[in-house]
Amino acid sequence: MKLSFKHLATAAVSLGVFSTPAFALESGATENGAESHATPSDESAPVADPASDNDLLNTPLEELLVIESTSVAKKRQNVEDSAAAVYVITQEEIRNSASSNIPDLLRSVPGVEVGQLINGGTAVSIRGFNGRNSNSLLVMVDGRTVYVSTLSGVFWDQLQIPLSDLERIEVVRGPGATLWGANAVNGVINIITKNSADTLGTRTDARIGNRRQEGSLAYGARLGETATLRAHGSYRREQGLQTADGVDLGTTQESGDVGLRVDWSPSERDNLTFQAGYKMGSFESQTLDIDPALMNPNPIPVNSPVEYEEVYALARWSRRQSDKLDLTLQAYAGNLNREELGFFDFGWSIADLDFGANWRPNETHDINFGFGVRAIWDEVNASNPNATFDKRKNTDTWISAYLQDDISLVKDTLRLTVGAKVERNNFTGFEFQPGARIFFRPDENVAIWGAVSRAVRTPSRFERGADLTLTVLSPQTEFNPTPLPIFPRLTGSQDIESENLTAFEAGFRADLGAGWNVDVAAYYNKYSELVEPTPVGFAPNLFPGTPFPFSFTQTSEFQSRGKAETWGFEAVLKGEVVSGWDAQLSYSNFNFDNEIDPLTGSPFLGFLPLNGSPEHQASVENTFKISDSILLNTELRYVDHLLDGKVPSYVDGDVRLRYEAPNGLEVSLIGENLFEDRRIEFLQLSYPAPPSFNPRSFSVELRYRF
Amino acid sequence: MFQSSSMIRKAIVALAVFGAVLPSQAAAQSSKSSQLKAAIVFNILRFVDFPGSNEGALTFCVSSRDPDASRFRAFSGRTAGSRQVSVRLLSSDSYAGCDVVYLGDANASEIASASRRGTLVMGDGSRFINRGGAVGLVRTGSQVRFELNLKATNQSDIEMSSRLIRLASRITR
Repeated sequence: MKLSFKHLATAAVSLGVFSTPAFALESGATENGAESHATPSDESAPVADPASDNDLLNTPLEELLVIESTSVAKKRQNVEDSAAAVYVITQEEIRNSASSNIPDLLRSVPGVEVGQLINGGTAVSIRGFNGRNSNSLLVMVDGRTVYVSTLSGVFWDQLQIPLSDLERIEVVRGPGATLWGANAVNGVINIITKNSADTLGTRTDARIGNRRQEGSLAYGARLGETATLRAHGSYRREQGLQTADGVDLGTTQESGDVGLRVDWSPSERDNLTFQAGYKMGSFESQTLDIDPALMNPNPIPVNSPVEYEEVYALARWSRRQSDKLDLTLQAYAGNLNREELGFFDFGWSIADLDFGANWRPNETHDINFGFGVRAIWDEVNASNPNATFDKRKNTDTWISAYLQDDISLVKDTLRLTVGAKVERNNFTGFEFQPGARIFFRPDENVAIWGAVSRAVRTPSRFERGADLTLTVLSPQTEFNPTPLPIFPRLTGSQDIESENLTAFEAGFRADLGAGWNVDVAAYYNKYSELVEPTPVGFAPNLFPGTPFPFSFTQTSEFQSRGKAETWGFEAVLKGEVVSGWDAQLSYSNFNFDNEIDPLTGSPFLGFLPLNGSPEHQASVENTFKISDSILLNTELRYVDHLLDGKVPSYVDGDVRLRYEAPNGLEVSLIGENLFEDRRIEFLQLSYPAPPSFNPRSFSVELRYRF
Repeated sequence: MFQSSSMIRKAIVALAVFGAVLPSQAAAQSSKSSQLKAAIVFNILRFVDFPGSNEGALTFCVSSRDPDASRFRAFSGRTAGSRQVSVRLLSSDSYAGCDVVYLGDANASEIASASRRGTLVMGDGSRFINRGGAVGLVRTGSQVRFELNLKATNQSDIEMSSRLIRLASRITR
């Protein structure tokens, strides 16, 4: 019993985020979980005692293959030993899931909210503030940020990594700013790909369905005795979202990517990785335009082209300097261009350099420190008189340093982690993000943790200096009782500050015996300086030569005035019902309270409304190993209504039935969104897109390697 | 950008200082690697189907020349799948009665002489499976991985589970 729990926990692999040295090293040093086999996986419980062959012999093969033996002697921690709300999507879960992409995989993680909004645009957040640009969630791939701080969001459709090449996805709920810095406000997602030494030879995947067809090919080879490479290419076409009546919105999305990863271990203490990739995509999305003359009272549906291209390269050197000191140096650069909405042409480049160290001077202290520099160059070409930016080109620069000490107060029982990250950028100045965490294990089956931390979100270019009139409130509708259309106009402000969060978290984990365990995390988040669209003007739009107006423009300026609190909890119960039947039940609860705006006497509205997050989410996941070669995975999810019912609640059902032939060929039958013809998942009132529905889909998938 | 470049400089200096000041301790990593190797070998045995009855003891023979032979002794008495493992140190080239032969680094003729129906031939190095071995354990840096030669396992009438086929770092068919 004990064993299976430990294995489960290990499989879920550590991530000790704020507390685990290895992870902290990787995360802090490289802004993420970094190199797959050099990080959390080293921290599996069964290998905790290097002296014990027994524990190692009982460790599942999957874990042995990603344990770097150099770290066998390292102080290690599991998910079960981390003082944060952590969930790991393992390789096995990825393989069993019906999902074909990363946002869909995230749907089954407790506390994560996922809703497709428009073709090519998915809203993903944790603990509130969801939207197309859900600004409070930091997302990284192999140590490289894919959170575009200039827009405060992530282009999820550009995260087109073949799922077979994923090592795991680590999801941390709650702030991670003490190590990761700004914009790790409500959570951090680390996507980690496999080491190229694990994927030699040729791998092919093909998935053909009624809504989506995709294929990927990867080839791995040795470069001498100490280095390996993997090159991959993928292609996808997808029909995307529909109207309520089942008519496709926009055109078929086509996208592809190629990537290269080289891993080199010149010695037992040095690991180098080099990664580079290129992605592109093209389709038309249905958006809602407004009349440029501000006369037409209704939005005008148009098909507007979406095109993107992205290129990146990363290099990282990790060195075990001694048994007490690990060092990491990482550099990466990337560039992306994306055109969408018919007028928004965006270019973004990033260059980032990080150094990190993990120093264990004695049994009590486990110290992480590091520093980094980053520069971001962007260019916005908005070819629309109603969407302009204060400047076309902009450069943001950052310098940061962090220090964290993980102090063992009572060995294996009580641990205190204190640390802070200090950053300076050229637009909001200094940001200080401290955190303290405590971990207590009163007995080997129970763990309790608590944390207080501060995090900030830096303002996007929209908030800093855009002038946008993108939507229309038609006459005599909910928000416009007047007989004339009102055009809401949003303007940025140079005075905008970072949003602040002070987070209080606590959690407990328990081994219930019989292979079952429970993990509960609760939070109370207090936000200030939230961006609040503040009304500053209301003016009639006059047509030359006429004395009366045709419409009004209501101008709101982004101001750092908002205050809100959120609170809730997430609970996961996992275990083996009977041999061959694994189950996971999870429930997430989210509540909020906007404080009263002294200007209006009513609650702050916020830009990303907090009622855009479900109060209740629940899921039941079952995996049945019917035989050695046949597996059935089912997922049932309930998502509560959003925006006072404008997006109704729904129940989602996904299923994968997989057969593995003796030669390793895998054939799966997959059904997604089985209970409804189609459902609406998200709506952002300030976003110019029609209500979009996600249809039911079926597919067949084949996987083979040779 | 001015501040950035000065930070870059500091980063490089700091790294250089660490690199230079702290002597590279030639830590004894290899024993940890062989421990890991043994654990992977043992785990592989759990997912192998031998011809005929999969009952009774599983005889794991390891060449006494193999530097890691002592590690494999820990298998003795443990159960892999449904079979209890007994470990035998080989002093000569007599492989009779062996279900598994662990050769360490071996050449093609040594591998050929150990290969027969029902015997799984395992060994070290990235060329082991190219020389006709069934399972090769390969060390890169300090991580250990395994490679499968499905042609060899077919010839020996041994069935590898699809899990092994998936987890192997390389397979040849």
